[in-house]
Amino acid sequence: MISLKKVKYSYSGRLAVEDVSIHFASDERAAVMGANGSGKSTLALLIKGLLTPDEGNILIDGLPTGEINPGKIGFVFQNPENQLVGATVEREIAFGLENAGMERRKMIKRVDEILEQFGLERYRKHPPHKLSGGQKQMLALAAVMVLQPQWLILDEPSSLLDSAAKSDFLHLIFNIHPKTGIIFITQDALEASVFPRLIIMNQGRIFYDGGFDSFFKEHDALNQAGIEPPVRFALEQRLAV
Amino acid sequence: MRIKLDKVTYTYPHSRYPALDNVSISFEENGFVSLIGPIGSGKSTLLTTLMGLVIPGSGRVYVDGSVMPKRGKELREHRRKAGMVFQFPEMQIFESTALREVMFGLRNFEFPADEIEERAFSALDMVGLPPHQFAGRPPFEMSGGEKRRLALASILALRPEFLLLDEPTAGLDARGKILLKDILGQYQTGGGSVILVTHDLDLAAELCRRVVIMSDGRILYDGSREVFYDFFMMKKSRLRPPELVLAWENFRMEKKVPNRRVYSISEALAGITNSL
Ligand SMILES: Nc1ncnc2c1ncn2[C@@H]1O[C@H](COP(=O)(O)OP(=O)(O)OP(=O)(O)O)[C@@H](O)[C@H]1O
Ligand SMILES: Nc1ncnc2c1ncn2[C@@H]1O[C@H](COP(=O)(O)OP(=O)(O)O)[C@@H](O)[C@H]1O
Ligand SMILES: [Mg+2]
Ligand SMILES: [Mg+2]
Repeated sequence: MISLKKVKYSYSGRLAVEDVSIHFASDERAAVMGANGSGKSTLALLIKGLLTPDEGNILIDGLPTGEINPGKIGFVFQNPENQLVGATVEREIAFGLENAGMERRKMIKRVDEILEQFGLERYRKHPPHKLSGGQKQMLALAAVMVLQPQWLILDEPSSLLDSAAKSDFLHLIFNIHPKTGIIFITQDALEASVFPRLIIMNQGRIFYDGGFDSFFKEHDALNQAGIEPPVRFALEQRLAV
Repeated sequence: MRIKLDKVTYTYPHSRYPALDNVSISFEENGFVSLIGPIGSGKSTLLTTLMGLVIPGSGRVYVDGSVMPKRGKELREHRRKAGMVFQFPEMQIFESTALREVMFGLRNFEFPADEIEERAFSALDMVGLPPHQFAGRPPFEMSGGEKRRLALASILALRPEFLLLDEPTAGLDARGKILLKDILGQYQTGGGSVILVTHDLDLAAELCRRVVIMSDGRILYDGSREVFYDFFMMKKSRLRPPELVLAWENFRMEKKVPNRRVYSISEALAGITNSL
């Protein structure tokens, strides 16, 4: 369980997140949307413990973020280039397993499996920084998921993927370890629509927290939060008027 | 400006597969083209080739009928006329504030001093980074979407004849997309050319009449945007048709609306009103 209580954070005087109180059950899957600069990435970094709140507190299964095993929360940055450090794609994936002390033969098997699941076999000897943008995003996710974290916090992890790759991506995060809790930031309402819970940030605050359909019927709320509904909704809505 | 590729093949150093495989294509003046295809199909490589950033292993690139310069003043001149916004905005952001970032290119290309500031401020405004709020902001203190806007602004400020955009809407919010659509609309009226690389096929359909589809380094299709209604071709390209096209075709079947093709929500609404 992740719980935030009255969390506030500013970057050198500039308020980014304010008065955020929110809970996530351990296998919860939530999408987070919101305008540029509304505080989504800041919220994600706070939960991961990469930023410390100015006020309020954050507990992961009852412990402050600084006291949990860092492997518990898998994190993908908005720019995947920030986290790709391996010399090759396969090294990138093996890195965390090695650190965890996995036995070599088992590790090789695991790496092969992941490469196949993520469609990256062809690139196993490629340096990560020489992949295409979408391939980098796939790899960033693969390197995080191979460690089987309890939580996945993903900051616009699929923004450079085509729609077929986007569905593969969702399939992977939902099905490889079905009990993983997921917090998924996205600008793509269609993608958000498959999550049972939708959180909208607006100017650093939680603006909405609930089901997808009910929010996307609220024309004014959509406008206020600067969010575009999926095309289908937009058509139906305007036809109904 | 016209740019033409003639049988271009390019393989990155140490790679086993060509990123561009015998590509012949030309981009005309005042054209609006979307360049689409699955991840890794060669879209970004094609854009960098058009900028003269990649030199093909075989084949030729022509700019207005002459061979693409490899270096020197001519290449510089080409890069002033053709501006590219990279897939990762961080790749092109170096300066210590947003304003300096936008002014960098303008200074580099020796725009008149009195024009530089005016162009920089107006570019920041255009992309929704109001200068009073963002001019002095260090780029590394900006959110992802804000950096994307900044990268756009620094190219738009140069008002290139030819604009190459690599996934410009990734990370942009809904307002940002509307701003971009407006900017591109003005661009078209002003006679500029645009190549739009995007996975947002709804955006591609709305903005560009010509569509180029890539797959495994090859050009699979080059023609009208009607291809978005060719479900066989879309499938062959491993692409999902635009959401609007899917919704419209559904609607058409249910309501028996006459067979016509729409490419934007407003066209769809007009189509429906006319048929009632
Ligand atoms: N490293 C930083 N230093 C200072 N200010 C920052 C930093 N990162 C973000 N900000 C500012 O904090 C606010 C929230 O930014 P954040 O990155 O959380 O937004 P976001 O919702 O993720 O936006 P986007 O959709 O553009 O990624 C914005 O006003 C932004 O300009
Ligand atoms: N710098 C590079 N070095 C080696 N291979 C690369 C490099 N950049 C891209 N590639 C490879 O070239 C192919 C085409 O990539 P790219 O043009 O970036 O695709 P797209 O933009 O369509 O996603 C991919 O297989 C990719 O892995
Ligand atoms: Mg962000
Ligand atoms: Mg690319």
